[in-house]
Amino acid sequence: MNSQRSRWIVRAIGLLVVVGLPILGAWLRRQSEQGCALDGVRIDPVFAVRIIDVHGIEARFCCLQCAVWWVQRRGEAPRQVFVTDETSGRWLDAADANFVRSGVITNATTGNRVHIFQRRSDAERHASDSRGTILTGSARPFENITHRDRAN
Amino acid sequence: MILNAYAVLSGFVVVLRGIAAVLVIGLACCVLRSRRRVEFSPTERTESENRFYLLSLLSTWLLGLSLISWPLLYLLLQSYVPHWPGVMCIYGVTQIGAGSRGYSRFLPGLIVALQFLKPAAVFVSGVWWLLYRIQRQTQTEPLMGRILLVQLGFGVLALTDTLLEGVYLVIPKREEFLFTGCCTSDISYQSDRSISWLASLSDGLGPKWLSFTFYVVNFGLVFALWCFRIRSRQFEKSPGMNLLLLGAVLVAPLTAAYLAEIAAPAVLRLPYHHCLYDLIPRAIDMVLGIVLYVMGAGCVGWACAVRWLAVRPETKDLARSDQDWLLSVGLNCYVAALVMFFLEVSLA
Repeated sequence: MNSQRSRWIVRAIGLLVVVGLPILGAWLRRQSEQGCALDGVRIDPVFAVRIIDVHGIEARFCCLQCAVWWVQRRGEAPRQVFVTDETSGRWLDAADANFVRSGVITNATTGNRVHIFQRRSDAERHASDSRGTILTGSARPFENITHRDRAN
Repeated sequence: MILNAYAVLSGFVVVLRGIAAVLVIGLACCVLRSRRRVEFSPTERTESENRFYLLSLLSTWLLGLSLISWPLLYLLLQSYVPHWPGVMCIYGVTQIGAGSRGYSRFLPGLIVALQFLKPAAVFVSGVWWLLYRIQRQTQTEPLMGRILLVQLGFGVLALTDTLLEGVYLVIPKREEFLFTGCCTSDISYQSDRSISWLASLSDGLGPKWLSFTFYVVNFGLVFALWCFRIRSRQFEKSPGMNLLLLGAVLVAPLTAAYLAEIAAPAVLRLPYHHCLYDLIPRAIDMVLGIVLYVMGAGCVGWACAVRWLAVRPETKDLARSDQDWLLSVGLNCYVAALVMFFLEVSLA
């Protein structure tokens, strides 16, 4: 009788673990801070990029390079792209941003060297301080999307 | 050489395992040689028995250390991740040294070898333990020769694994050219899959068919296991058990493809990141599911080993009861793992 009882207790504990752990794990992962949508690393707010896709779903990224790769993989143009001004930390539309490619790496994993500024003067200062180039025309990230936004 | 807490711990375990493995090999050879002699004096017989008991104790010690060293390898690799700025997870660490000209060019190969040797050593040690457990319940030691050979094999495997791990720990890993892969800096959007053959298997079937095939094939395996479990006596002389083992082995690549291509991206909520290693720091509950699945496959293998090696007139019933027990454990492990995988992916 006792052995049968202990067997049932073991089965109940096993069932609890098998069903409970995935539920607990999924819940904890939902509660935790969401990382970069491409590679899952922690997002530094200064370099964060936010993309809203055609379905209206938002994805956040740790750097511009991750966002570019994500868009390339999706194969569909996003509805909107927001980037962070490195000087103020404020969100701005990618169409209004000044992009500077310099020697300073923002993310070692992706090797991203593109820096984002709202004001032209900040971009020029960063470019001259770190031997960078202000990106113009088709060299600007998300250029096709930002052109379309302007047209709209 | 990178020196951190895990490297020191791994080094300590390597030294202990190395000593135990050498002693196991030496004693197994000694006892095997002494068993060839036809006549024994009472003193020699006692000496041989004492050696065998010492060998069994050492094998148990080596078994425990082999079990510890398996997860310890992944903890060590995880602890190496912050040492390279371009490395994001264990996969990046496993690629350190690829394409370089120094000794570090051996590092990726060593890691691959270790990842196969550790489970192999644990499996063989499990076979030894089962045979030893069966023999302890008999009077005439009918499995002695086989036990000694398995112990010798276990010792050789453990020693090889230990030597390779020691070499891996010692080889300098800094300032080496870094291979590019899914978790290293020069990531390209075409090469986001860490294991190419898993990616091609997934691409061949497509995500929906891969999931469907995974569950159908695995539940088929579970059903076959259940049939064997409840009607083991009917299948006693059929080759079905060997086919079951073959099935468990053949299903493994499909399971790996499902886990890397479907489950890991869903659980980690990273649809373009197909890397099983990322589950270790971020979804330990999923890792438990994988451990249960591996245990299920191991139990099928051990049940077959018992059937091949432990069936003698005196041990027939003991072997059958152990085989049934292993099939039960294997069945429970498979079912638990599949339920966990299903829940993890559904809830993600």
